[in-house]
Amino acid sequence: MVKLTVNGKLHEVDVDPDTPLLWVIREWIGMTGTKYGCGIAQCGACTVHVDGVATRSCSLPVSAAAGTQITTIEGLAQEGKLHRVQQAWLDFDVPQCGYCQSGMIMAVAAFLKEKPKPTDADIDKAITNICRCGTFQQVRAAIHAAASA
Amino acid sequence: MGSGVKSLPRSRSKDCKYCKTIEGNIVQGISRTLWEEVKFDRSAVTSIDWITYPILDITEAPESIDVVLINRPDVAPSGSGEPSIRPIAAAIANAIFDATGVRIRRVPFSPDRVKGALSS
Repeated sequence: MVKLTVNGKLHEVDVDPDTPLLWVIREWIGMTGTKYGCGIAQCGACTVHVDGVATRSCSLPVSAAAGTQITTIEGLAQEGKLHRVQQAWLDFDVPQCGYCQSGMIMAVAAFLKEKPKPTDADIDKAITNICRCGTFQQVRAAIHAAASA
Repeated sequence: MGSGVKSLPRSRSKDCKYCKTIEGNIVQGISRTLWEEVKFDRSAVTSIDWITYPILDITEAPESIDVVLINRPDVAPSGSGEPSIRPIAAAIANAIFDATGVRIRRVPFSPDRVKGALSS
């Protein structure tokens, strides 16, 4: 049995300790906001926060996440109030198909804690999430807006 | 109105939903022009992940894309977002020609292809 705290709630899951955290979140706990994109940590669609650090959950065995505070996209808004990144994403209409965006938002939320006023160069270096729809112009604009919020 | 062409004020991307589809198609167009190619050997496809099939990422997305929508109410609707991808390869090829005098006629314009075309 693996004990996991996800979005502030404790879960006990009966899984093989090697199971990637992504599947535990999606299949066992039932939160499907976090997406599978590649399974090899190349695309970032599976990004969650593990103790506040943006982490690609497809490549983290659930045993490594035990005892940590995990935040998924479902847990980003606090007490009904959207995270400023989510609000900027709405204001700038960032998502097109939406598939990469949970991971993108999670990556950006963690990034802004480390770099509160990023330049475009900072953003390019840190936000490596793949978006096939090409929303990058709006991602940059929304990040700058969220940084000023 | 007399000329039949009326330029809309430059749409701010924040409010312009059309612009976002156009931006996305420009990004994918550049990606297909510069990078995308399914590679294979005698037995299998070898483009199997984002390393072996690279696509445009944020570092190569243009710093800014200005979209100007021109209102043509006399023309039947025919698409605007997705068709934006069509001229991209040609535009980049023309830019390469303008800069170097060389025509590259096969995408992607990989470093090897460009180098080969420049030295031939």
